[in-house]
Amino acid sequence: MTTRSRIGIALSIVLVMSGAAGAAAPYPQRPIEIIAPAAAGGGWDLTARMTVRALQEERQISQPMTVTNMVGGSGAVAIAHVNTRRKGDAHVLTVMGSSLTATLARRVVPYTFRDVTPVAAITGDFQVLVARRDSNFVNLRTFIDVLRRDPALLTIAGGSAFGALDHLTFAALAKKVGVDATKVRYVPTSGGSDALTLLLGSQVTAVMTSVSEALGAIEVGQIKVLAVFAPERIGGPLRGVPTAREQGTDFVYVNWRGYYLPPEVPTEVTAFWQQTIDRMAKSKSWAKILDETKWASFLRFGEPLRQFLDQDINETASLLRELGLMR
Amino acid sequence: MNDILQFLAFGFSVALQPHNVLYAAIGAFVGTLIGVLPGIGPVSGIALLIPLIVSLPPASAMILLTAVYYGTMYGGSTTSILLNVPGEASSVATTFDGYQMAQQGRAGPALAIAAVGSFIAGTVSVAALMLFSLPLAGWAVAFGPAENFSLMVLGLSSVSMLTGEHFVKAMISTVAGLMLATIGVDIVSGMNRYTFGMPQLYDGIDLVTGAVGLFAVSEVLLASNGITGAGRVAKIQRLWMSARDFLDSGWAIVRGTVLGFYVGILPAAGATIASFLSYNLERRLAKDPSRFGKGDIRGVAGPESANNAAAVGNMIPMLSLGIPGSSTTAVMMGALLILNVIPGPTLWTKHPDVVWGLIASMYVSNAILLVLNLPLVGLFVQILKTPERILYPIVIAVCVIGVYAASRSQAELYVMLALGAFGYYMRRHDYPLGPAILGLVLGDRLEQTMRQALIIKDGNWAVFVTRPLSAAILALAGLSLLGPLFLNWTRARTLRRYAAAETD
Repeated sequence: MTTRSRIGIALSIVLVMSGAAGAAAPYPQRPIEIIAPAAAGGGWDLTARMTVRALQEERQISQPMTVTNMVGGSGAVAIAHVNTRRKGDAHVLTVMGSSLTATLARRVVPYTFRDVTPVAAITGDFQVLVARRDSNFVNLRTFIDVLRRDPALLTIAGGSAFGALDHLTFAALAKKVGVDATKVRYVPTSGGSDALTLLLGSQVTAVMTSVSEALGAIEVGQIKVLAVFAPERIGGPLRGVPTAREQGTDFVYVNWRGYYLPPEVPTEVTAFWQQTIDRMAKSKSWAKILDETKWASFLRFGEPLRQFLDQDINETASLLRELGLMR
Repeated sequence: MNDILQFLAFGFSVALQPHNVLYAAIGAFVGTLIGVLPGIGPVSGIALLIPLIVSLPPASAMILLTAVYYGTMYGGSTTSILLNVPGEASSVATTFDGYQMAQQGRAGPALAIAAVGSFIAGTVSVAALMLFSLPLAGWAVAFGPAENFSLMVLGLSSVSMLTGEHFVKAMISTVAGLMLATIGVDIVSGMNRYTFGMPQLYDGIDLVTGAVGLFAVSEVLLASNGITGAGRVAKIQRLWMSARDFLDSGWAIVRGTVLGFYVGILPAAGATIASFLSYNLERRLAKDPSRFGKGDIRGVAGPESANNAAAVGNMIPMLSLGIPGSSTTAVMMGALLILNVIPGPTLWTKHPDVVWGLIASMYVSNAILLVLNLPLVGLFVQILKTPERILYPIVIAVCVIGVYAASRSQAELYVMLALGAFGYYMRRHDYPLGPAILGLVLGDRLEQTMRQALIIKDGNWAVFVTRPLSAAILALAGLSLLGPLFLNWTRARTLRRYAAAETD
């Protein structure tokens, strides 16, 4: 760590504390950097850029904010960078989410959520199971009937690798209804739209993906949604689609996203961001963004967040073990 | 037809509104800049603009984004031709003959034909998009994994054309490229391959980083050792292409346009593969294929037309099915959804101002880009007059800035330099680089589609020949690979027989 950033941190502590004493909090006193650990254009990138937009519209942050795309290994490169180069840096936020959980659960890098300072979970993009419009599956019930009776009849595509989000969702669903997920053909592709192309070309029977990936094709009307894996119905074009719970399978799976700070940042800074994000998430600007992106609100802070992350990692790890992808 | 003309007239009334022309011009200019810089491609360019467009009316926003997309397609060729530094993955094929032309003092005609070819391909493809978008959407999903695999094999079969003199060395080079493509997470097993525990390698070797390293860095290394014949650029002959240049490239542009458009519609293929297939096709059809790789203008005209046509074809699955065919159109669709414009068949009736404004603006941006690029040819060509000791450090600087800006990662720079050294070694020992880059371009999709097809059919390899379309493409690939070898063999045999007859 450079002397300058050390002084910066010392200063920020002093300033945040003096802020707490009464005057308006002077933190942040440097521009804020948001690391999106993926290429421009993906969900993590959009989360970062939309956060910047909302915080600027609501004038919540006095300092300029920049987004850095740090591509690599579903967040592995970014969490390694933050742990080795940015320890204690109070001016850098990094986007995290379900894909990072899978990366950490597989111990791709020697870090866990405990090695950084998780601040908040913000949004959730719920998973959906879709089939062709002319498919025999009427709803999730008919799908699960076939899954139980003859899993070898099914071919499922997803927009991710084996052991990553869409595959994990399907494995968790199969486990929930008592079926061995390895008995079903799973076709990995490099993105939701690749998977949907296979579906429209009648190459596979169903596709596991997320609401935002499937939205275009849903609106066009070429595919039908068998179930949304959300706790309650989501609005917009999917308001007519029943949740899995409504169809007798109590199953929820979310592609959540949030933020962490580097390790060893002052607790005041963590508190500052918890408050800022909470306020932002309740703002008009953010409501508009949620409506545009069809993300659901998925706010978690502090102790509930910690519990959620632990549970997310543990469940993912046990799924990976059952799939034979991890010892 | 009358309807379409009416709609188009309406579209032009949207696109020609002064503020929309301004957006198209800004987009074209920004896109050209993004295209010139290697590493930063259309995806990042468009993604960075998304938060800025929300306040614009949907039609203007889409006009701006499309102009950026188009601009990058134009701009990508400039550095490929002048410096052997491909600005985008889709202009890698342009380096093969474009850079050679520049070395021979024909940078002007190369840049001009790239701009003109792009213009013609873009304009014609937009007309096709306008007329046949809905019926063509079926073509996008007709290609399953088996067909796509065969298409990649067809692409690979062009190595027999990129070889130069040493067939075995070309094969080694191809395999090296394919091996480089296996680095990173294997999506079927989810396991890392050849990453040596470095998270920076999990996503594999980026195509642009690979091409920049193999071509540009190795070029500078060769030049700095005074080895390459490239060292001194021949005197610049003329800035503008001759009538003969244009006549030579006419059919290459036509074929590149048709091929690029159809390949662009396929979600698994896209502009990069289209440009390679077009290069291969031109070489195959030429009466004198030996001129390719040594500065044949058709080797620039074909791929440059194909990648622009593919960029337009790419929009078809997005506009009609709501499924984006490439990462660039995925970002554009994200923008559409944010603007509350829902793609799909209803788009044409619900938001005619967006669709027809967009289509009309493609014509407008094409024209703007042509006007913008042609005068710049003269300026760009001056770059080649820079003395080597100044030019080559600038080339390295451009490569480093571009690659770093796109990845923000030092590791990416090390990969680039390592590949530069590898490329240098290959070139010193007469291994052709073309097949290596082809392997790197196609390897990922080749493996993915093959394994997807096999998973769907429970490991039955027959799937590649029992599906008619796939079998036909494979047969074409076989012909393409073995044809020239067979011809050589019979020619050699005939020669031997003559020789034997003479000694008798």
